[in-house]
Amino acid sequence: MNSRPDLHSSGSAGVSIALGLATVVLAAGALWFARDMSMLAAIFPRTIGVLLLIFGCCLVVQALRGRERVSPQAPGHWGRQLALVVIVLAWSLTLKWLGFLASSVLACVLLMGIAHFHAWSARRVVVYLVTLLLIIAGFYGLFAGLLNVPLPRGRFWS
Amino acid sequence: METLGFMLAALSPFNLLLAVAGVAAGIIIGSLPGLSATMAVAVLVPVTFGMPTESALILLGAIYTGAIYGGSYAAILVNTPGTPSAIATTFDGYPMARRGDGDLAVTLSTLSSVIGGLVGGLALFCLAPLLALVALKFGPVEYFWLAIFGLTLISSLSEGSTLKGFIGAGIGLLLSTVGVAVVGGDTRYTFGSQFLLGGVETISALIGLYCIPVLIELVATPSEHLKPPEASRGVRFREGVTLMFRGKWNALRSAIIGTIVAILPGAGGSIASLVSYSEARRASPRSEQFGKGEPDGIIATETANNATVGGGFIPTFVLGIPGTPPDAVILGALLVQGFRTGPEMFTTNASVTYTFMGGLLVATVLMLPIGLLIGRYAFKSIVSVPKAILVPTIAFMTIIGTYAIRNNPFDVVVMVVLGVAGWLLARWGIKPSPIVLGLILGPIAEQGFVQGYLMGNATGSVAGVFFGRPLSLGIIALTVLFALYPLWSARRKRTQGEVVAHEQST
Repeated sequence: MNSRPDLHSSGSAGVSIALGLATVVLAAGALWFARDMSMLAAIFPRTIGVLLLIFGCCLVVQALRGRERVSPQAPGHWGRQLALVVIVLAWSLTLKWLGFLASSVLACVLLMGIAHFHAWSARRVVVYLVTLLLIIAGFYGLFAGLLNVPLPRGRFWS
Repeated sequence: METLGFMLAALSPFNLLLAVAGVAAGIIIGSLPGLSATMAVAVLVPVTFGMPTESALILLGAIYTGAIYGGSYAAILVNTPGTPSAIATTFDGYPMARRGDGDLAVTLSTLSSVIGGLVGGLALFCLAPLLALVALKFGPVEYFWLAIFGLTLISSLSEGSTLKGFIGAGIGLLLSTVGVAVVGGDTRYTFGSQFLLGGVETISALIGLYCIPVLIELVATPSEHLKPPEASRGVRFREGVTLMFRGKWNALRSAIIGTIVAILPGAGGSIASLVSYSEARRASPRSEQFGKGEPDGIIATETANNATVGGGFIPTFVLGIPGTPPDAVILGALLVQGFRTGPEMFTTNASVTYTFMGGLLVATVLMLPIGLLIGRYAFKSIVSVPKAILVPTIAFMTIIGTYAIRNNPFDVVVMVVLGVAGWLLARWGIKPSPIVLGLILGPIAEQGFVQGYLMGNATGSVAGVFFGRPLSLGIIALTVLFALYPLWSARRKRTQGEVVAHEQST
């Protein structure tokens, strides 16, 4: 195994312990929910559950012995990263209600805002917005028109 | 001589035009995440209904080969495999692009794809009936062992900790069990939700696991996403050829692996490229550089996945069993045209079959100029696009691509959730590749295992079924060998290190 102690690592063992415990919880859940399945359907998930249980315990033990550490991550803009996750998640959840086009335009404009790190000028806003709308229109046309993908129109509007 | 005449018929102006159009369309469709080669072929099948059969097949084959190659663009330039078979291309392609060698990576991918495509095409031409017989010998138990063999790749795919790699594979395997069971039909881990009945869609999961983390990282810092080239360097063709020549044995081995894996129905380009990558890393004197932008990594994966195109047609034509999912669509198109697969493909319908083979080889060769041209502009445009446009564009492509797979908004939610989870897991040391490997191999392993188990129960010897067939034993031996090799290699390096340290101290 490659999991030999990394003498140069200055990372945290706590994250690995948490990860090991989370794996144990996941494995226990998989085994618990497999109890009502038929023998044929349960055999594979149970096997994976048992293996995950073993791996999770091993990870905790390795981390306690200082052999499993997570390297420190480069700092970044947490606010922007969180905003991106929220926007994309909200986008995926509102596709059906707002419709594909409306939710996509809204989400893309918001994403454009959080991905830009410099000062905005009126010209730049217009150029970026027009470019983005053209890209959305192009792909929307390709999928809805040419490939006949039934993209949701939105319950909100009907 | 007659065969050669049939093959030369592929050079008619109409067939050449179809090959050019097919390759270009395939490259563009394949480069968009979510639009797989299967979808590219399926969408364009109706266009071929009015065409002569050989021309229809040439167009579909060209789209297929172009899409498999096109998948490498997104893998190299935005770290998102355009098609599942380009998963392993992200490992070294994206690091190369980040350090400013994206143009060289695209050129290498083009050259490798052409070589892989030619080897697969020639194997189809020369060995089709012989190799198809080997595929027939594979039963459920052999598929189970093949999947287990695939899981041994985790040791080479998990960067850093093998234990975390195995946990990632376990998560992927568990995700593959969600929905209706492959054998028996039970519903598993759906928690009463009708949306989960269809399970976790592999391509959606793949897009999420690879693409969402890229988006999250893109907005983390104001720095450029890819290092722009210092000066215009063209496509760096000569440099690419030199690297290809250096990696000629790697390319040949990967092409052979790709062809063989493609002959096994259901295995597909993703497994072929992962196996080849693992083998290239194992055999390379620069194995430490793999995953950090090693050109040999791209050569291995791209040669293998394009070799699956020709290889996959072998069981399709000879046995009527599609080797890869796009082959299934092409088989359907062939049946619509009124053709039956089997020995008559090489006797009564030899003109169609050999003209198609010629067309496939021509399309593969045409991929070189078309690919280099499109690749050059793809790299230039991705480098020059500001983040404020790139981030929403990639996000939009992932959302629309995921939705289009099954026209299901729930798949989009699953994709985003898995993507965010994948990003967090990657920060904690569990990379997406073992999860994806588990997700892909899970159904193959489970189906093979349960069917083998039932066969064993019926014959009264489960062990006999799993360990009694020579092919199974061969795969088990390979699995044990490949699983133990990293341990042996690490031990040897440690011993050598200790010897050197001892010599230096004395």
